[in-house]
Parts: sequence; structure tokens; C-alpha cells
Amino acid sequence: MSTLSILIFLPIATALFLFFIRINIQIVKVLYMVVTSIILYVALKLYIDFDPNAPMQFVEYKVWIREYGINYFVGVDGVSLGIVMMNAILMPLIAIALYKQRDKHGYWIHLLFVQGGIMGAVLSLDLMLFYLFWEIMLLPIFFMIGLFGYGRKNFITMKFNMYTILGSLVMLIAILYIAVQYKEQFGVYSFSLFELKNITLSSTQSILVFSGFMLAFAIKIPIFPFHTWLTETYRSAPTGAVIVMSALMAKLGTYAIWRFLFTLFSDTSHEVAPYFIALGLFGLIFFGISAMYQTHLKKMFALSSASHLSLIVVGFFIYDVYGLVGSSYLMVAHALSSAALFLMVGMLFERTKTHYIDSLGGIAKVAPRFALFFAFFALSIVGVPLTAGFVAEVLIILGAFNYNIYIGFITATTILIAMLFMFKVISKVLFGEPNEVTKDFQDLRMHELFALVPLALLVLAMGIFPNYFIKNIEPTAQFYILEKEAPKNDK
Amino acid sequence: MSDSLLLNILLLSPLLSATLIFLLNISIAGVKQYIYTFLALMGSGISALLALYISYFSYAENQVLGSHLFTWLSIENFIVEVALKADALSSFMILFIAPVSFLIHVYATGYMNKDKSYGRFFAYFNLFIFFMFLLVLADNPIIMFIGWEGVGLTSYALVGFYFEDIKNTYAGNKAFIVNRVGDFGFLSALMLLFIEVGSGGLSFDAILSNIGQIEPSMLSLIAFLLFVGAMGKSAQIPLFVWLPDAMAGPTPVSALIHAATMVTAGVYMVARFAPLYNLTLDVSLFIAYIGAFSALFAAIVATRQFDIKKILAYSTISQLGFMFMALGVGAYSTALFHMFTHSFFKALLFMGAGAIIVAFHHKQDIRELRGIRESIPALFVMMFIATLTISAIPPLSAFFSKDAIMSALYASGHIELFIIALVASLLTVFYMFRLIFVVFYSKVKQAGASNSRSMIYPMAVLTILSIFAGLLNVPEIFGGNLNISNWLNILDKQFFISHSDEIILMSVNTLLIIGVIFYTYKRYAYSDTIEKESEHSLVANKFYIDEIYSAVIVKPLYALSVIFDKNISHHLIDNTIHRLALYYEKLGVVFSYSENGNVRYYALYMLFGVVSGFTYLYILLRAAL
Repeated sequence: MSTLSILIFLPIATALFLFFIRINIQIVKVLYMVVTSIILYVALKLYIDFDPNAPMQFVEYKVWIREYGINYFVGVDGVSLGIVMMNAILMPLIAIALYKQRDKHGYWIHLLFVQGGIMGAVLSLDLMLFYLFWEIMLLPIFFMIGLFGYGRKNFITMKFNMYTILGSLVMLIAILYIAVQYKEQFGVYSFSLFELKNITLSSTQSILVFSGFMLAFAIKIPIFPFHTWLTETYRSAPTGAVIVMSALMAKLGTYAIWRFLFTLFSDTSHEVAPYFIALGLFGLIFFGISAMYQTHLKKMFALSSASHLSLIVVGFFIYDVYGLVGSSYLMVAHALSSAALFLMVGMLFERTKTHYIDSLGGIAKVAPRFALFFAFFALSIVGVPLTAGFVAEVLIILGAFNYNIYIGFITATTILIAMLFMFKVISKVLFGEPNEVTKDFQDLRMHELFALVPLALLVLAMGIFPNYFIKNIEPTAQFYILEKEAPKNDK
Repeated sequence: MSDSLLLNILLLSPLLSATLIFLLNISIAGVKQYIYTFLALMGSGISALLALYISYFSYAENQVLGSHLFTWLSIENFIVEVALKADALSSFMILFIAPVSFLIHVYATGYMNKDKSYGRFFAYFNLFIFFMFLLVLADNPIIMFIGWEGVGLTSYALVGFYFEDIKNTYAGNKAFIVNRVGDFGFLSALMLLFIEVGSGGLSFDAILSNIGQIEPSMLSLIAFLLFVGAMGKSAQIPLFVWLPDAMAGPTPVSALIHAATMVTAGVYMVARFAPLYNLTLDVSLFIAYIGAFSALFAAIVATRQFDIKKILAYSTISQLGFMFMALGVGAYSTALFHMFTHSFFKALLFMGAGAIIVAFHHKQDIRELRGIRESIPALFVMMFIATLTISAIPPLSAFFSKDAIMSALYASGHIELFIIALVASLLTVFYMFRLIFVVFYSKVKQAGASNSRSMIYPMAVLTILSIFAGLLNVPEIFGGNLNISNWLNILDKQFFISHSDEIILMSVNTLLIIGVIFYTYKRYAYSDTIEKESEHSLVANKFYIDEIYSAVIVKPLYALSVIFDKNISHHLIDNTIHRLALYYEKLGVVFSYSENGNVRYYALYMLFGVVSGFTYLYILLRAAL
């Protein structure tokens, strides 16, 4: 079996195996660690073997359903590489940090399953395959919230699921529609991304199909006004699910914009870009300001994530090399920081049984290491220099100024937005005198440090030596820019 | 040793010591204090020595050191090198930054003695000088911006150093947030600069040699935005509000960051972009006016403050205003020279204030600190000299620097600026001597603890520097030859002022200053005038600027936050979605009437089905026939 298939199917197969066999929870955890470590190893090998200048690599193509042109077609390039790496790095770390807290089989099985699902969705180059994985990765989250969540978990997970499935179904219709169009124009069915992009659609058709895809992605990201599932879902979701959702699944929405919409509807994407830039900028500011008065940590960080994801959308739709590279970089940077922060919120909840910032305080005095890491990751969300977020934000702002000076100024407010709430959180949670809730707060234990230190080092490395990482992304971005400009030159 | 190695060591030795201290502090409990002391002093000491060496060579042999570390980013034209360059201006900056940093480090070992967070303090402190060096040595504005934000970040950490009192951390938050508003301008300006002339390279030399290609309106915008950054960092109106609050940090922090080094970064930046500001005279004039208003405003507020550190903080804002006035009229090296002398005497004043605070049980209110001269004679002498210096009494250092600013303002033809500067400088004398006379000249007496030597010796060095540093840039009227100005070689605007005018200016100025000193003595020394001064006047409340900002900016933002989240997200959008789901459910209820389990109904549906089927067939047949 080749590299990408291992990445996709090893976790899924293990998850299914564990699902049908009832064994000791300790063995489940060990197996989880073994499998995610293998995945991490394979992913690292992939990263090392990755050739920045080649377009699509490690491609696998197997015929699956011949008469409808549905094939098993996967590959990796500079954009998907980032998410693959994040997926591979975060999953074992979640387990290292949380293994003492969670003793339910389902928790770990679902996490394994979702890892495979995300790998599949991010690597698929066949639309049917993509749709399949896109739905598969939703299910484990649905069960995780329902089984292990907090609060009105059943209602919330149902709402989240319905909402997301609504988007996916519209996307499915759009996928089927263009496949049929392809059949009419070329005589055979195909779901392959690179074949489908050859079809010609009238502008009305392509805007409709574009919207079909975009609805699914917009709900997943989420973009204003499709965000109302977000805060409550993050609030209810258990730590593992929240990390997966904020660090990986939301990024998949933005990734899909680039991979599918920019490839299939290059011209349309370009035409509608101003609207999405506007929507993204509005979201950036709207979510940031909404977060200001939240008192629930997870809700606040949910809105903070949404704010950054809107910025990623802006960077993509600006559609020049700085915007594309900056946004891809921000996807990875934000995945690291937000995963670490949600992980720490989970630890906080485990120790204090509260998520409300007003009832916390004084942690820095009793738990200096916890405070240090919490402040570090919070500041990395704000995008201070030497962290990865800073590099990404500079690039997106540069792209925005390149696009239009006014858009540039509004985008540059991103360096102010996250501050509005993040500094208040740091003060209220970490500083002041310890109170009843926090006076016995236990500092980070060894296994928690093991999970957080690699993330912190990665954030720093990506902030200090960005060129080393960005050279893997840049050629892919350049390739898309050329693609965009090619039709123009023909005219 | 190669040149680049020198620069690298200068930059990285504080970073290395910060990292070591940090790692020790976080991993091992109960490390001996002297290990931290050793590491911290090594880090800052090595860079101080190297800085003196480098600036000497720059001064004597006019050589420019450079170093290239690695490529930070390279995407298309956007190529950012992490490169250092010590040209005259940068060498001049490190000439005072590095030694003053070292002296304040020594002082801090005494001030922070036995503090439980000793290690953490020096980790931040050394990290700060690393970022400060990065700021002044960077060869391109992006790396400079990293240093610029970095000093803001360490300032945030140090202002909120005693985080047990949450108010301190709020002061730190305010400092960072207000600074970032300035950084917003700075970053935008850099992006615009790159888009306009970035293809020619991003180093300062490349940018400044290409600015001629930018059209004037865009150039003015860039110049203005850059200055917004300077406003934030150098605490000028309207972004000055963070500096008085930043006094919540330990006093060595105030001395190093909020007096001698970080706050001067704005002045450095404007001087660095001097060729740009020479092309945008409208923005330059704007800078001069902002400087003038800040100088005057802060001086007025300082006359009614009672916290010894707050007085000095407003004094810093006021002195920075002087520098910006000079920058605005094009007298760049004059401004830089005042920054140079200011860093000595203001650091000295802060250190003196810190020593007093430590000796007298952390009291900061000058009304409670009366009559302390007898118990701390050495401190008194040094504070008095520093106060004479800031008042610009000849021949102390600030006399040369401030007088040069006054002459430049006078000669530039902007008489209104000159008058504002004169008033502000007389107010400076007033509030500084108010402090001295209230604290040291009193009928009541009190005794305090004595200060450690590590605090007194650095102050003695700074006292000497405050007295004599002016000799480095003696104007030609006194037979000097403006060594520093010639060394810096910035495109200063040339002002011509006759020697007789200059002498009249100086004498009138000096006489006025002496007059104010006497007035202040009469008013405050051995009297209880200070007790009668109200704490609730408009001036004592800083013209309610904080309250206005809170009402105009902070509160509306929170209100907006509630509207966004509650009204728009929740009530409008989410409820609409829920209602849609509800209608869907209701539709189900409607259909469920038909599915009622009654066999007769199903028979009826079958009848309907059969009838409509036949009707359809009938129509089809009719059409076929």
C-alpha cells in the first residue's frame, strides 16, 4: 500500500476493528497511540520526500466505479500538505495530553475514525470520493458531542449535524450536476477534479454550482451568516472534538475553497471574489467584536477561531501569491495555536470544573508553567512577532494592500481585533490573586508538557524561520496564480 | 574577529542569557540568585562593551558594519533578509542604549534583590534589550518592525510584572493595545512602501533611494502612517495614554523601557526615514505640532501630579514632544542628540525615584515622602543634578541639546512652535523643582533604609554622563564642532541663526529658568502649599482623557459586542434558523393528519389515485387519437 492510502485507511481500519472488538480500554489507548504514531512517521516521511516544485505528488489512481467515472484518486500538493501534517501531528498529542481523562472506548475510536476521514477529504482529487470523506468525518464528531459532550448536547449535536448535512447535500447536488454536464459535453461521466475543470458552463450555471459548493464550505468554516451553530457546538463538544473541529475541520472548509472552487470555477471565483472578501472582512471584525463580551472561554475562542478563519477566506479570495501563501500558512499556524489553546482549556476545566473567565484568576501564581504556555498560545493567536501567526498575517495584509488600499487597511485591523478580548482573558484567567476555585490549581504534569512543548516549538520555528516552511507552499500558489492568469492571456 | 560576528554577538548575547535564565527559571526551583545575576550582567555587559567598540569605530573611522543572518521570507519580490547594519545612526543608538541598559541591569540587581521572581524579571529584561537591538540594528523595516513589536511585548510583560495585583496587568494590556494601534499604522505604511518600491529591495538604503518614484500624495500617506507608529511607541498625543499607567511596572523597567530606550524608538524611526520626511513637509509640520502639543500638555499635567513616577512619566512624554518638534522642523540630529542626553538624565531620575521608593517602604506619593534629604544625601545630590540637567542649566548636557532644539525652532520661522516649546520648558523646570523642593526641602523629617551599592554606583555613572555628555556636541558658538551631528550625517535642514541672536536666546532662556526655580522654591520649599493642591482639578485628572477614551472607544465597543452577539447572531440569525426548522416540523404535523391510521381514509386516497390515473390515461389517449 502506498503512502497516502496508509494515511487514510490505517486509522479508519483500526477504528472499525476496535469498534467490533470489545477489549480493554488500555489496549485501545495503546493501539491509538501506535496507529497515530505510525501516521505521524509516515507523514513526516511524506514531508521529507515532498518535492516543492512538483505539482500533484504521490498520486494514486485506482478505478472504482467504472461506468460512472468514479475513481479512487488521491494526491498531495503544497496546500494539502499543511493540513495532512497538522492532522498527523495533533492526533497523537491530543492523546498524550488527555489519556488520563478519557476512559471511554468510543472517544478514542471516533478520534481515529475522524483522523482517517480528514486525511481522505484533504487528499481526494475525485469529487465523489471527497464528498464521501467529507460526510464520513462528520459522523464521529456527531457521536462524540452526543456521547461525551456537555450541556444540551443532544439538541446541539443534532443542530450541528443537520446544518452541516444541509450544506453537504447541496454540494452533492452541485457535484452531480457538473458530472452530468461533463457527460453531455464529453460523452462520459467523470468525477475527477482535473477532468471536470475542462467543462464549460454558462455564467448562471457556474454561479449556481459555485454557490452549491460554497454553501457547504461556508457552513463548515463558518462564514457569516452561517455561524450560529458554532459557539454552542464548541461549548458542548468535548476537548478532543473541539480541537478536531477548530484546528482541522474548519480549515478543510477553507482548503476546499482553494482546491475545488479555484480549480473548477476559476473565472467565477474571480468574479465573486469581491463579495467574499467583503464577507470575510465583515466576519473578521464581527466575530472579533462578538468575542469581546463572552465570558465562556470556549465560546470566546470559538468566535476567535471564526474571526481568523474569515481572515483566511479573505486571503484566499484576494488570490495573489501573498494572500494564498499567507492564508495557507495561517491555516497551519492557527491550527497549532487553537489546538493548544483548546487543549489547555480542557485541562483548565478538568482542574477547576469551570469555563467562565470571571470565576477564574490567579493561576499564574500557583501554576507558572500552565500560565506561561497559556499566555504564549494566546499571544500567538494575537499574532505577536516570532510566532507563526505574525508571518501569516503580514503576508495576508500585504496581499490585501496589493489588491486594494482600502481593503488593505480593513484587513490590517486583524492585528487589533484579537487583542480586544485576548488580553482580557489572559489577565482574568491567569493574573490577580488565586480564588477558591484556583487556589489548588495543579501545574502542568509531565505528559501535558509533552503534548504542549512540541506545539510551542513548532509555533516558534514557523515564526522565526518561515522561509523553510513556505518554500513548500509557494510553488503551488504560483501554479494557481498562473492558472488564473492563463485564460486572460488567451483573450 | 570579523565585523559581522561582532554584530551577531552584540545582538544574540542578551537573547542567549534571556533563554538560559528562562530555562533555569522554568525548570529548576530555587536556583541561587547570583547565577541569574551573573547571566543577566554577562548578557547585557558583553553587548555594552561591543556597542562601545562598534560605535567608536563608526565614529572614528566611519566604517559601516553589516551582518547577514538568514533569509526570513522570500516570496516573489517580497524578500526579507534578517540582516543587521551598524551605520552611523544605528551605532549612535547602541552607543547609549547598550551602556544605559547595562547600568540599569546593575541597578536592577539591587532593586529586585530577594524578589521571588528575580529570574523571571531578568529573563524579560534581557529579552527586551535583544528586541531593542534588533529594532535599531535591523537593515530593513520588516525586521525593525519585529523588534518594534518585540519591545512592546516585553514591555507588556514587565509592566504587568507583579501580576498578583490585576490592575498592573491591565496597565500592561493598555500599553500593548495602545501601542498596537500605532503598529497598525506602521505596518500599513510598510506594506504600502513595499508595494510602491519593494521591487527594488527592502533594505533601508534601497527604499530610501527609491522614494522619489512614489507620487507625493501616497508619500504623505506613508509618512503619516509611519508617524502613527511613532506616536504609539513614543507616547505622543493622542496615543500617550499608556505611558503614565505603565508606571505600574517595577522602577528599573520604567527607567530602562519607559524613559531611556523603548519610547525613543519613535524618534529613531522618524530620523531613520529622514529622506522621506524631507520630501513630505506637510507631514513633518504635523509631527512638529503633535510634538508641541504633547510637550505642552504633558508638562501642564505634570504640574499637578503627586505620584513621583507619574510626574516623571509625563515629563518623558513632554521631553519626547521636544524631540518631535525638532524632527518636524527638520533638525534630525538635534532631536537625536536630545534623545541621547535625555536617556541619561531621565534614567537617572527614574533610578533615583526607585531608590527613594525602596528606601521609604514603597511610598510613591510626594506628599508622604517629605523631608528625606538627611537620610539619603547621595541620592539627593544626584537627583538635584539630574533636575538641573533636565531644566537645561548650562553647562549641563541637556543645556546643549535643548538649546539646540530651541534655536532650531526659532530659526525655522515657526515662532508659535518656539513659544510653545519655551512655555513647556519653563513648566518642566516648575514641575521638576516642585518635586525636588517638596520631597527634599521640608520641615518634617523622616528616615528610611539605605540603598545597596549596586543601586548607587550606576546612578553615579549616569550623573557624570548627565553632566558631561553635552560636550560631545558643543555648538560652534562655544568653540565646538558638533561632533555628533557631523558623525550622524543625516540630511538635516540647515538653519542660519546669527551668533548674537543665539546668545540672546540662551541668556533669556537661562534667566527665565532661574527665575522659575526661585518661584518654585518660594512656593514649595518648607511650606505646605502642596497639601492644598487639589487632586480633583481638571489638570490633576489629566483633562479626563482616560475617561473620554473609555466613553468614546471602549464602552461603545462593548455595546457593539453585545449587539453583534446577542441581537444579530442570536436573535436575528439563529432564531430565524430555528423558526425554519419549526416550520418544517409544523409541516410534518399537517401531513400527519392524513396519516391517521384510519382504513377508510386510505381507501379514499386509493380512490383518488385510481381516478387521477385513469384521467391521465384518458387525456393521453385523447391526445393520441
